[in-house]
Amino acid sequence: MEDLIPEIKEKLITQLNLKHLKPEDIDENEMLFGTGLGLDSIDALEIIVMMENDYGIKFTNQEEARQVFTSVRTIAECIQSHRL
Amino acid sequence: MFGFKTINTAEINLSGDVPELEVQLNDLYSSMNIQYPKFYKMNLLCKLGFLTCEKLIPNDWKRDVQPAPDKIATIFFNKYASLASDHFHHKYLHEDQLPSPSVFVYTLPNILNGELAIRHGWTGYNAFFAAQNEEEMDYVLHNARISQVFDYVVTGWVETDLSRKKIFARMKLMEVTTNQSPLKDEKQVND
Repeated sequence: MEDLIPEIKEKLITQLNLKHLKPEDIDENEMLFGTGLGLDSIDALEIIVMMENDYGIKFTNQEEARQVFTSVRTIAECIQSHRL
Repeated sequence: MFGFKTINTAEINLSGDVPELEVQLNDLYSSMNIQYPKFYKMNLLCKLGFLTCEKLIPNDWKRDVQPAPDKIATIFFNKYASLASDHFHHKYLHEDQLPSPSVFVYTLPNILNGELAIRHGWTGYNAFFAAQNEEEMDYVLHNARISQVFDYVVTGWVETDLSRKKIFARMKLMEVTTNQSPLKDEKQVND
């Protein structure tokens, strides 16, 4: 799963246009929304699209998505669990 | 009687393909020493309008004048509305991909008014008009002032004409004047 973390960081920077950040600037345990990276609702939608397009993961439960999108690590855990 | 007194003007003209324009706008942003990460998320129209507005608003204007946020209007014009972003959104749909929310959200030109409202804390009247030419601007501006109360207006033409590989913005910061003796270079309208 650890190999997914840099990949997700790169994808977030590209997909969300976080051009002021480098992968090493993002702590994989940092909150993505609210006080951490400060992503907004449009970013959340972009992550949902990224998860579906790139990893084939669809979210039908809002609460599940909220938990998965907590941090880079929780996203990686979700992707890893779908691969098993 | 009221008229408009120009406080400041600003202009940006760029040309090139979309990737070149993105680089030019990002370079310009970097050169202006602005710290506003959301800039990178904006579409071409908003980046262009945002940077032109940064050049337009004098550093000491807000401090010295302290204008009421709800008395500052933003009224913009262009010919092609958000066609550049519409095109990108259509491309996603045509390629049978899930459309990008961050592209879709910019498929309206008046998002620029919202971006500037957030950036500067302005809460006054705002509108973005699709017009055939710049001659229509005065007419709309004066009629907007008749129906809406504002003391200052940030206005101008903000265009992304990708068919000619040109983007340009010409903005003015103007004060609404109610002086009794009309200045020669100001238009006066019966209130």
